[in-house]
Amino acid sequence: VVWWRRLSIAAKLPLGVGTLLLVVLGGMTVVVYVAERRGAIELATERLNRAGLQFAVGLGGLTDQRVRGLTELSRTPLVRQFLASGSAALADEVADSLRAHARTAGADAIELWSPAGRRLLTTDVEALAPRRLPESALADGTIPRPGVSGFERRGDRLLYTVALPVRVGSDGRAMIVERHALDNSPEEAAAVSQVVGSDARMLVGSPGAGRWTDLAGPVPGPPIEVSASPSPIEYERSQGDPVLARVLEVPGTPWLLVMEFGRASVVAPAQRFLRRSVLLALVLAVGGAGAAWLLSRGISGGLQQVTRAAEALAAGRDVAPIAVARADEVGRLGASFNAMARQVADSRHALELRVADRTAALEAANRELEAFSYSVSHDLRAPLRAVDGFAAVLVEDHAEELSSDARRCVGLIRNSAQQMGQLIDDLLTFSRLGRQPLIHTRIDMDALVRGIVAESCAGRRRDPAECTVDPLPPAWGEPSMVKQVVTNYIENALKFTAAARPAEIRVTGRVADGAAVYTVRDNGVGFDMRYVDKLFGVFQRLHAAEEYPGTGVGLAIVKRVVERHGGRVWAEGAPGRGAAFHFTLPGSNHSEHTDPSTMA
Amino acid sequence: MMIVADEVEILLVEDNANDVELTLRALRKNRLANRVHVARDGEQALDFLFGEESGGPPRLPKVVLLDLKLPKVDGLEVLRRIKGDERTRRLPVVVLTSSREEPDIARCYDLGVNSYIVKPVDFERFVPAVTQAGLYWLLLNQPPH
Repeated sequence: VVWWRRLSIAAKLPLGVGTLLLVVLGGMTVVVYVAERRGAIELATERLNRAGLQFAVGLGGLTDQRVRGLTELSRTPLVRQFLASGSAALADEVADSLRAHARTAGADAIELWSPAGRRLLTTDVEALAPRRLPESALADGTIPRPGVSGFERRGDRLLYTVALPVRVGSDGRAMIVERHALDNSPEEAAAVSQVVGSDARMLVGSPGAGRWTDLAGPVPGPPIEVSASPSPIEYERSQGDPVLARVLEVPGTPWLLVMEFGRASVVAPAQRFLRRSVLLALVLAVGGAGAAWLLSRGISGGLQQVTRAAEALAAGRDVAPIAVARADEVGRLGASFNAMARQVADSRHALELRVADRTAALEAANRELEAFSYSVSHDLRAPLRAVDGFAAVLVEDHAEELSSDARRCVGLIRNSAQQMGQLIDDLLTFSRLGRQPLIHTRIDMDALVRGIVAESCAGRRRDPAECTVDPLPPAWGEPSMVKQVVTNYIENALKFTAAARPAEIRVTGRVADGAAVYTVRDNGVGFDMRYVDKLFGVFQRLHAAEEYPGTGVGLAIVKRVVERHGGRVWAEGAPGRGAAFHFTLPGSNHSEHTDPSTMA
Repeated sequence: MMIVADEVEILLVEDNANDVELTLRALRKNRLANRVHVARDGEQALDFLFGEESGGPPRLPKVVLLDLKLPKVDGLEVLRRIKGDERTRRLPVVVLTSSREEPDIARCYDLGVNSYIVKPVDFERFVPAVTQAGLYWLLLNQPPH
């Protein structure tokens, strides 16, 4: 269903129409085909029935006629006399008569048998009469009804006999037997074709003996055991084609008549219809889909234009106006899209101009700031150096001319000048740290902190502080700037633990949420949490300058550097109970974070 | 402070009169101020070195103490001319300036400065800075012949 939703409208419509046509036409084709096929089979069955019955009755009539002919022959006085007397003197005359009858009846041969079962006379020159009397003539002790035998094969011919018992004397029962071939009538086979159809075939056989003929000659019988039934049966011929067949008894004989119809030829018209219909359905479906495609292209062509333009607009590219040449819904959509695209382009252009303006202004401000820093750095320090320098000269070269109060005043002048120099240096550092580009590298914080601690804790004071550094996780950042942060934190801690005995400073670190968190803890004078907001501000001090020297820029520098790295700073403490200062740095190389203060 | 040119050992290029005096005082304390020539801007410095009007061979002091921010021709240009000229290429130049701006430092080293010293505000630190530089370049350093 997902792929259907993803299809464009131009494809959906023809696909839908084509599928619909295919389903409808296909369904109709199947229904008609089934009905057609059933009708064809019914028709064929009816024809089979009719033709089968007709030929069965015809064959029955034929044998009947033979029996009647024999009966007439048996009643002729010559034959009766011969049978009663068995006189050899009559034999030639009787033989002539029999030959004449055989010619008339189309029989192969006629024989006369005595009640004792001896052949008295035969017209068969080959004398190939059966050695036993046909079974039909020997049913029991009573005089049997006239009988027709099953088939018997002689050479490539199938023969049957019609036997008629003739009463001789009081208990004698002679037999008159006529032998016929059934397969010598190709005209009968032709008649079948004419009546039933060329694809039909008629078999006559005696199932017990397995001898079958199609009236033209002996043929193999049906591949299955067949028996007379009122409804058609189906089987496959030896060649593998299925046939529809009707099996009937031939009246007055032990024969079965099988009328076969090739099933393929029965259903062939229906199948032909099916093939044509499927082809037609396909052609119609393709044609319908094509027509639907033309139609939908007309509608969706405009839509696609708008869609492509909207996608381009969404991707931030410039879009040429869409040509609107129609007034329907699609045309109105295109027109309003054009208006919208124009507005978007206008506002984007305005935004770009504004960004360019702001960027230029920021760059100018940055340049000014740089010039200002330079001036501060250079020009502000020169007079300070003169103040301090000449005050020093005054003390050194003119000491005896100055009173002690004057010397104290000169000392104050020098202190102030030096303090201002320090202030300028710190401010410049603060400003520089805001502008300096960040190049992130992996920093071994453990080594860095240990180096600073070793230098600061031991070196600066008469009574070294007890500094401990726990194992620290690495961080990503600009090494020189991060070093400044750590230095400021450590210097701060040292400054405010000056009175503690012993001074204890501990640096710890951990990793939380992908960031490295570092803490510098001391047991110094601490601070009141009420003023925690002022800790990291520029020039903010919580202690008097006389008590704890410093410019009040150190923690502001820390804050600026850490925030430029995407980290944060915070602190906690209590008066007289020490303080803990924290900062975080990126724990991994995610230098893509925005650096909001680069421009400041 | 005009002295015999041939005896000049230090060329001090500095526009600020206060700084000139303080520098000379610092040098004097260590008896290094006797052979100092002071140029008050870049042009004077170049005139002294190359003697634009005389056209003769340049006069080479043992060291040049060069401020960066100068009227007319600034310190960087003076440095560029000294280091760009075959005759003065080997002359040691020590930049002595108030600027600790990273771009200044980088540019000076790119141009081949021999040393870069930021003038401390504190006079107690200024004096050793200047005298150490003077002692080093005049007495300790072995120049090429």
